[in-house]
Amino acid sequence: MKMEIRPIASSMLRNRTGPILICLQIALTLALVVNSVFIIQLQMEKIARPLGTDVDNTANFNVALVDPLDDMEAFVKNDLDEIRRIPGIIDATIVLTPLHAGGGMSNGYRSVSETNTGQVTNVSVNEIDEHGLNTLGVELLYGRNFRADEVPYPAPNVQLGPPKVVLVTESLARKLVPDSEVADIVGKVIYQGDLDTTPIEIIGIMADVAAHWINYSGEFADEAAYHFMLSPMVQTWIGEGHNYVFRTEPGAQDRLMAEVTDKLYEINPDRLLYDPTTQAEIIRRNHEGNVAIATILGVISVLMIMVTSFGIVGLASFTVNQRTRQIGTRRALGAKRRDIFRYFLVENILLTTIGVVLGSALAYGVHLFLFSIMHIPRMSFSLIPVGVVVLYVLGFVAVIGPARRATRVAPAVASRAV
Amino acid sequence: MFVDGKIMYDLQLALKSIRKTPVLSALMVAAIGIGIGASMTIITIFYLMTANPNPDNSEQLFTYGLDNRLTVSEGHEDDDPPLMATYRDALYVLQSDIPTEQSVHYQSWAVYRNLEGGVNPFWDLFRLTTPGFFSLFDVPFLYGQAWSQEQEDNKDMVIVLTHETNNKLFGGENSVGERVEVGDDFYEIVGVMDNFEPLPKYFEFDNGLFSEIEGALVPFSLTPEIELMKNSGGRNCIAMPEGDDFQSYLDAECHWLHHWVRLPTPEKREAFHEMLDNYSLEQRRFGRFQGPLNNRVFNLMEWLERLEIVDGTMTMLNGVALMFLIVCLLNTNALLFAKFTGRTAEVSLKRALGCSKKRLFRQHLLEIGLVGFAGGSLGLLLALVGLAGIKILISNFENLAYLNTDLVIIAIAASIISTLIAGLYPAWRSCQIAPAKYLKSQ
Repeated sequence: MKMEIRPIASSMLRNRTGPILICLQIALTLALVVNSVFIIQLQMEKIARPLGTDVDNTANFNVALVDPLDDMEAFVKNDLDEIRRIPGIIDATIVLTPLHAGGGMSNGYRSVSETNTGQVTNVSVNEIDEHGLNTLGVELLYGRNFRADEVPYPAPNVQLGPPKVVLVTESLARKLVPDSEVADIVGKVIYQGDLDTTPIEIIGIMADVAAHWINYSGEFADEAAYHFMLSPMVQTWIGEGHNYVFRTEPGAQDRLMAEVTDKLYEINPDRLLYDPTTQAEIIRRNHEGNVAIATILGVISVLMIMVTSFGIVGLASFTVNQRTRQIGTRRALGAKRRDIFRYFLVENILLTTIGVVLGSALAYGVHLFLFSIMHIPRMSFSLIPVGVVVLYVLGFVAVIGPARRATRVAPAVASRAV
Repeated sequence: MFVDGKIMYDLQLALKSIRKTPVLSALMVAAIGIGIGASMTIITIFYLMTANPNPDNSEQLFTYGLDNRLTVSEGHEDDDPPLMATYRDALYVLQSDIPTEQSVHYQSWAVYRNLEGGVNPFWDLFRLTTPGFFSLFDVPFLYGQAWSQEQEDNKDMVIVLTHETNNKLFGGENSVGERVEVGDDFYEIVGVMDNFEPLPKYFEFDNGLFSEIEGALVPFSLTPEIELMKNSGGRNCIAMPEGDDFQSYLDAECHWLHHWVRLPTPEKREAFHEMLDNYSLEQRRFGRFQGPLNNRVFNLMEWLERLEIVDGTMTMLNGVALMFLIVCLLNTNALLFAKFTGRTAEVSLKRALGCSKKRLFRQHLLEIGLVGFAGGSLGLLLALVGLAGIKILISNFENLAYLNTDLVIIAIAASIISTLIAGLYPAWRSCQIAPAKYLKSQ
């Protein structure tokens, strides 16, 4: 093996243009495919992140009255009670914004303890009534749910100050009160923003529910993914609808969406229903961009690998044709078929090696560039060796055909044309 | 010189040579086709996203930013001023006679009702604007026309419907002169717009730059009358309103109005900027505009650049498209080398029989050009597939994923030119063969 590298290298050096082009192509392919796979992984992680709610069986209705009332409390309560009475509905609630829709309210919160003296954590907040946990299908790990008398119904457009009690996710509890056992965080007090001094009591800890910024992928994306809080409040707005959420028994969603629509119009026909949507559809819309980017990069990566293997096949076939006489001579002088096969294989390995060395450096450069223009974390460099292996395998597979053809050159060819 | 009587014969030779190596030729056409197809898909979207949406007027259309900060922390003196105007500043600028036309606008959601019944009430956007909107942005009309400046000044209850709203409320009939209820008020219809979809929708950024113009439009002077708060898009306050009433809402130091003006000459632009600066200095005496003089005037394309439509992801995709095209060309280049080198014997023979280098070179270039053309055509087909795919992937890209004549020409030209560039060196090398060299070994 070792003996052959020198003649192969020197032959490549003599006819250098073709091999150089293929090396460059391999390098660019490696750089692009590695970075594409990295970005695809990021998109997939975002899509695959567990959301913590019963996504498949909840749906969202944006509802508004044509002529809003001054006091919406009785109206909203009646609507929700009627929905809950429909057979097949597990529970219904009202939320400030649809969950996992990409947008939503966020506030800073701090706890003041020995270790955490006022450091503010940004939290995704949703406002909900006492049926919230059951409707969303969120498990309560410790503590208790809101009581009905803890949920205020301010007049439309009137905003109240910080809540008195909240439910936080396990991740958020650990972040806000880092030194306690999670179970002991129930009953602890936090404060809103930098300055507010109204105590807010954590009355319960929920299993993790994803924050509304599920599409963010910057530096603290993983840490902040579940910084989510529920606050007891039913807020309505003049000129805008409010959001009902209901959870159905599995398989009954389609039927019940129609039934809930009918029921709402039956209670009060003079209202607007805007875009009744299943939770799964909300999430699909929210992830549409991620899926698109992943698909585009995936298709381009596959095409790129294809084109590069075209190049390898093309160059190798050409070299085999070029060297028919040379191969014949070697065979006539006693070279075995597998020697010929090995010659082309080694040539290909040399090409690939130069290509992947260049490509690894280039892949890193491309990553640095992408890091500077996009909100992405640092790439794990284990992707580069994987890409390198893939390109070696690709090179090997692409060269098999032409190399096998070379082994079939008869020794007699060498003498014929002379 | 390049074209003479023998060009047809050379073309035949080129075709023959392409057919002689079918696998190699197919690989080349496929590589160029895939490269052009993939990069054109992405470039098309980029091109349509960054196109000038109003090329006839873009040099004359301006918007402005007034820096009315109350406190300025160190190092932030030159920060961009807010991109929307406060109500009172917009009213002041509206009185200026430097611009020849002006449009102040904002939008909100409102309930629409047909007075005759038969149509369920529905939500849609509702825009308040000065009549300059229609002339500045070249809005086409299907029926009727915009309201006049006089009607604007008189606060007349008049309305212009979009095409779609007219379809919903009146089944597409000419509704000029009819009345319609929006929110809690009744308006007389004076006009119905024809389809109006500038891309990007440059004159505001409230509802996405690629969304349609929806609902209906009424005079901006009605704002204090109908007391409609902006609830579509942003409103950013640097100080809280002093009271709960609508007048406090209007008086607050909040940025929420889009304001465009026509300044036909550079002198006018300067005069307008100076007018803004003088206004800032004057307002300082009333305790406003406490920062340094930091007002901006943007023309349309400067404004779009400021909005950063091309974000990191778009830049990334463009880079990927470009790199991919380069790989495909490198590939073609390598294959052409292989092809021409394999033809040395034939070239030597031709040269020995008296074929000039120039003629040979032409034959090679013709061949390469044909491969490029075939690759480009395949690429266009693939780009159509790609764009159809993108429409499926991203639902609001309907208007951003089509090929126009410009793009078709760009694709074919790019593919022929890039193939020629890739092939120039191999073709030239192939012509340098000494006539006798390869004849010897035959």
